[in-house]
Amino acid sequence: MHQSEKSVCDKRIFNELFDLNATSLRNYLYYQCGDSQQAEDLVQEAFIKLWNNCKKVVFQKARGFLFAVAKNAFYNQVEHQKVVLKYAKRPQKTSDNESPEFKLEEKEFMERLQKAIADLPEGQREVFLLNRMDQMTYREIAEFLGVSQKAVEKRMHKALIKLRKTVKNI
Amino acid sequence: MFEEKDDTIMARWLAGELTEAERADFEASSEAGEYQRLVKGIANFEKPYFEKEVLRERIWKGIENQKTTKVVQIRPLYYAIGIAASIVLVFGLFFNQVKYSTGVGEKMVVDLPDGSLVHLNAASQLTHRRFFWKDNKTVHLKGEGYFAVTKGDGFKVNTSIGNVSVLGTQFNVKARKTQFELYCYEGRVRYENTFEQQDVYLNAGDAIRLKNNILLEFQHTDQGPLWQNGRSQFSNADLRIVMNELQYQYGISFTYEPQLIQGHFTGTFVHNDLDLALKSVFIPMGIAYELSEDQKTIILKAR
Repeated sequence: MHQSEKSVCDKRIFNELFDLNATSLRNYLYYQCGDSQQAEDLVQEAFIKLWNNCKKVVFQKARGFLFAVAKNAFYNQVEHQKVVLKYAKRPQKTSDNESPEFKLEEKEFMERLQKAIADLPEGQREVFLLNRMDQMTYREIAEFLGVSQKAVEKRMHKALIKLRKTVKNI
Repeated sequence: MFEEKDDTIMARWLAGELTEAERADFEASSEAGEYQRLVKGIANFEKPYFEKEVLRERIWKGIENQKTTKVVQIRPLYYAIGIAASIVLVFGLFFNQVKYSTGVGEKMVVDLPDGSLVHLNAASQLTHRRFFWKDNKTVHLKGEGYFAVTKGDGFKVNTSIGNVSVLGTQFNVKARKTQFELYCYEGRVRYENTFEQQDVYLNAGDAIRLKNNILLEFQHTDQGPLWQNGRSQFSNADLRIVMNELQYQYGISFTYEPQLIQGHFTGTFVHNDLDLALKSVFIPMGIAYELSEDQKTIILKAR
């Protein structure tokens, strides 16, 4: 039981848990609520709760605890916004030798894609964005969300098909 | 359509996990171009901007700020303070004593919370509990006191020699170092000394005196203690006791040959005139006396 000696009440260990989980938790919440301020508030709340319960939560369970707390807090909040991702304004590499029409089309495409992502069902969106934006593998996402890898792959599959169709039909 | 081959195939394509054959099928499909453009487009999205260290700081600050109100961590301290305060309070309520004392030659009237009056003779001390005294009306007496007790239950006078309990009455208790006298003027009192197994009820006109732990019962006709009128009265009292009383009233001391002090005194002495008091005690006893220059020491001599 050597591992369990890592006490969450230890400031060093707590900071380690922050480093391990803060970004993914924050992004995950952001993909859910679409408001970075709200996401960060939820992360803060979750970490403070973890600290207050540091004697009861073992190191290995801390991540699960953080997510459960943040998720519950999120669902208890009334205001949910659409997830609107920002895309880079830098010109694409290929754009130099492309026609103004194509550039315009590119811009419109990005806007469509942005809207399509926002319109994805929650479960699909969180998987899609964790994979694309946070470069998490399906296995990592499965562990992260506490579902099977197969379920993650199914959601990803559906998300891609839906995005393709939505972008095309707008 | 390729994307309908199974329910995870697009996910596997995106992760680059397709077999050679599957990949070839995909390339040949009509949606391939759309998917490739989609993935390229997604790559243009920025990762949500996040200042991790700012949030870390905010969390630690949040933890610090709640410390003053957070119950979990401070509770043991609150308990300790609470217990300490309770102990202080209990001590304060139950052990806090009110103390009245008279010096040599002084007299004092003490008005007790229940309306009872205690007249303290010289060099006496009366103490009682400051709070909730009415629930347990006990006073402690050292010296001599005349009690006029208001009607009510459970008034008790404790002395080092014995305890007196009463029901609405007037009585005098004299509990000097070695001397105990109890005069009942009205009502009924009970004297009790569990150590000596003495238990006596006194009605008006009854009195007791303890001499060498032997209880002496006798009668009196007084309306109240004479010391209240500025006199000390003795009836067949040991001369040493009379001299003690002179000391209490006048703050004097005696020098004498021990064999000189013998016999018993019956009579009174006044509290406001030392020379007169000395005369009334020592002339009948056949003892000559001399005052020192500061009037504080009395030298006794055989006549």
